[in-house]
Amino acid sequence: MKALVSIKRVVDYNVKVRVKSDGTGVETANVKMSMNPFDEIAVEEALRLREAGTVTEVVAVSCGPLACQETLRTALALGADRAILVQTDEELQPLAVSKLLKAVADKEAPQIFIVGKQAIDDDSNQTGQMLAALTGWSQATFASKLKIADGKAEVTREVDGGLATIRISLPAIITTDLRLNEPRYVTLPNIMKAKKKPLDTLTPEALGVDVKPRLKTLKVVEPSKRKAGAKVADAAALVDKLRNEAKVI
Amino acid sequence: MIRDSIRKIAQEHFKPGAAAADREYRPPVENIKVLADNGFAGVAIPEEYGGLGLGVFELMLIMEEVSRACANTAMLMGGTGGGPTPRVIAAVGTDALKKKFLPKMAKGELFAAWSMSEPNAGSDVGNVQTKAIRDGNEYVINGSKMWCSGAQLADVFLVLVRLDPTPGMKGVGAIMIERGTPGFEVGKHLDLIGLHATGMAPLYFEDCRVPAENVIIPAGGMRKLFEILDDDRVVGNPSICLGVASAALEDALAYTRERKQFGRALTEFQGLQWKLADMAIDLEAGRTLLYAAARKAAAGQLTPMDASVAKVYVNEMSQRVTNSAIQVCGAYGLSNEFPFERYYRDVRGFAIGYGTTEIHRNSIAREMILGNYKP
Repeated sequence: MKALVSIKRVVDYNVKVRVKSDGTGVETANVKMSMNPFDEIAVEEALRLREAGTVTEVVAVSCGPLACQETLRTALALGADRAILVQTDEELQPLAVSKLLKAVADKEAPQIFIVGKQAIDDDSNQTGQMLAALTGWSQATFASKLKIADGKAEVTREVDGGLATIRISLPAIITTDLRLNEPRYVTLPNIMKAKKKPLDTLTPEALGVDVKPRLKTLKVVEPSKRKAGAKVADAAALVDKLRNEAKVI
Repeated sequence: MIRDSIRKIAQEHFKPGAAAADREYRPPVENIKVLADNGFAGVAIPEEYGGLGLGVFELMLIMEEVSRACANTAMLMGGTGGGPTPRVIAAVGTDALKKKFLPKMAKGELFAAWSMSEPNAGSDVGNVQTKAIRDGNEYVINGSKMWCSGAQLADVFLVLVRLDPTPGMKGVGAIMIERGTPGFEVGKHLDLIGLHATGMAPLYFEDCRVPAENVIIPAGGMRKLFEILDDDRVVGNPSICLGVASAALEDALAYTRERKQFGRALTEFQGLQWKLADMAIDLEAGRTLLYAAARKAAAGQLTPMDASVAKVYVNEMSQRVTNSAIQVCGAYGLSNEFPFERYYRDVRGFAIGYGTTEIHRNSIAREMILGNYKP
């Protein structure tokens, strides 16, 4: 069984993000970039399935500029068998990414496609769901537990009221939540091995996908600064302020 | 990617226990297991012996990142596949010695110490007095060694001894001695200003018999050893200073951002801003020098002068930066509830170990006078 995992290159979670002075987006020049943490969880889950003998090959896919190669190398260093970059300098929106991933899925025919539930840059939380719609495969989003047996996937999902466990048929799209697993460290020998693993490059044109943005970003602004808090003497004063000043109770 | 990976491991696993290891004088051996589990134990050991055969530059980066979290762990790492002993074995050892020691070191299963100094021979290596006298297929060793890092946990020791009665450097060589060899004893822990958790101790030899095949450097072969050590001067000692100084500046910056006096954050006072800026200038100058030396070493172009210049500057820079870190943090900088005083203590010894900064100034001057340096 083959597993595909999608990887997005995002601004590192430790970086304090700054809005560009012209308000068109966030500053990414000279900023540390890393793998989207939810995608790291996706890679880890695929690797665990491989180590358990369920999956035989793990392929990492990324869509974006040439620099995404570096992020794919990290996926290879974590243990993925090979990688595919769909290279484009166009701005990619979730629908475009979903279409590209579908095209790759058509070529690769995986039984399971693990996707981070969202990327920490735009927080869209759309790609996995749209990919399921486009492929027509079953989907299980926000997975916190995954078991595969007899051609079915049993997935525990984190939903608003608690946990829901569903069984879906394969092939399937799984999107990862934070508690699915704790990704391993990249080990030094695997970093060395990753340099020799295959990394193929495709283009949206070769896959026949139109990636033109359908949405237009009007303006990006910094969040407004938080005002200083106030200390209250006792609970009664707090209730009074919440009722009469903040008007929330 | 190497730096990202080791930084994550070191910050998550080594940093939290660094203060306790120092306070309790307990070598953090569990960290060596973490390094080994993630493939960081055999960095400098050739691939055919189970290592990775990485170059000087990567090794320096790894040491820097480990030291940023815990200098004692970096010192212990010197006893695994990243330290001087395996590098010497790999470079000049016989096949038998390589097969015996290197694969285990690459897995972090065998800890090697390195012993050069004696009570009366520190910088003056030519004055080594520990004697090894040939008797059949064995050498009989008598004498004592000082300041041996990792002695209390090492399984095997590379010891500089006088193999030949010829006086001076010509009679000095090196031999591998295993722990537990009759007549060999590891002394009590030596309590120094910093690096409390490296298990440093003296070694005592009394009619200790070691097989002759354990000789790794024959008498008069010390020049070869010093060539290997030139690289090691870049990898070990100053990279630890650089890592600790980086940690000191990082933590001092975080502290001064938070700390308020006279109603303002410390970082709003220009006097302190300038001090922080000076620390950064000093640190980055040292980093640039050391990285340049490491790149040259990796390309096989390192001169003794490059190594000495980088070592002296980075040693002294780390003293200045860790000292300033204490100053900007005031009384909290002095308190052992905070890491600043430990950083200061930990870096102090590096200007003495691996050739004092004065000895290195001698060799810089010698190269200059010989005409090997054009300003």
